[in-house]
Amino acid sequence: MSTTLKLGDIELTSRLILGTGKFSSINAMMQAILASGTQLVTVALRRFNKSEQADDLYGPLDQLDGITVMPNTSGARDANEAVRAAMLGRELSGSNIVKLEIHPNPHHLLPDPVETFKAAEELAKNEFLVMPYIPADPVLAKRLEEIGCASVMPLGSAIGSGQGLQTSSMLRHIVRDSGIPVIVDAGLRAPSEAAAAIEMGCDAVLVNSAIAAADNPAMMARAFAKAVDAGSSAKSAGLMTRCDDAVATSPLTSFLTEEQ
Amino acid sequence: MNLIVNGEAHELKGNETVDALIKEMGADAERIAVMVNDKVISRDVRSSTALSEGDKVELLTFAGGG
Repeated sequence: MSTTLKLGDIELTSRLILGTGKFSSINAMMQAILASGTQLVTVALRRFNKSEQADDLYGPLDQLDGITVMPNTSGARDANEAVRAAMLGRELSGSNIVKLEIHPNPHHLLPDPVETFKAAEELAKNEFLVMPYIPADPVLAKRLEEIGCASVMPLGSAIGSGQGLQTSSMLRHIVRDSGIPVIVDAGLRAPSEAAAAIEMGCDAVLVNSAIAAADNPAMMARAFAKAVDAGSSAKSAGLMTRCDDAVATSPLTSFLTEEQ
Repeated sequence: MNLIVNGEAHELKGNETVDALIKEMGADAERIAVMVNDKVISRDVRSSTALSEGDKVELLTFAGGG
């Protein structure tokens, strides 16, 4: 496994990406970001409201050295809205990287593959580094690679559900065939799941709810960072082959049972 | 001039550009993205983009999100 993760002209040494939603306070979010060692965080857009400037994210995020801010297109219901949201995000972040997400159904928040593909095509043509949130579909992932996406972000399970890596077998297909980074986004609950995703060959994981909803977000962020590191080392070290039968680790010299 | 700003009625007095509206709303121009009638208005054309009666304006900023 290479030591850095390349997303267009952005190079990351940390394979943990953090979402900034659902934290109890800006302070808790900042502590978690710092504890995670992440170099890439996602943000959403909201309407400006003068009386709500206390929870303004812009100021705190601006102080973080060496961390790229990646706006998402959350709230977009179709490709046109997502493209507009991406352009608005770029105005704010000053960077071309965008997490493309179109999930019109609030019950499952599953990505709309048709609108996501259309939006990705348009954004890639306009020099965006497109990071699409997608179902764990190897065919769609390949098509998105072909039109110039910077990565694909297949889901582990539904957003915020904490159901972990429900899509493992499909993720393996995506990883095997992909020529661009594969980042598991959504559904992770425990650091062990993040380690498993990296061990199976995923390039990074994006975690939000699991950290924001922990009793101690900063401690959980550190735990995820260690898990991602462990997964990365394990992948580089080369995992042993899985066997159906037992293979003895001690010598079977049978000296205790040999007949006289 | 009457506008709809972030979904609410707003009367803009005086200078009728996007720049002027941002100032009047008390927003930090560096931390705001602007859309007028579903069209994104980039920073470099805010001062030259005139608003018209009934325009729907969205002023957006960052929020926490995954």
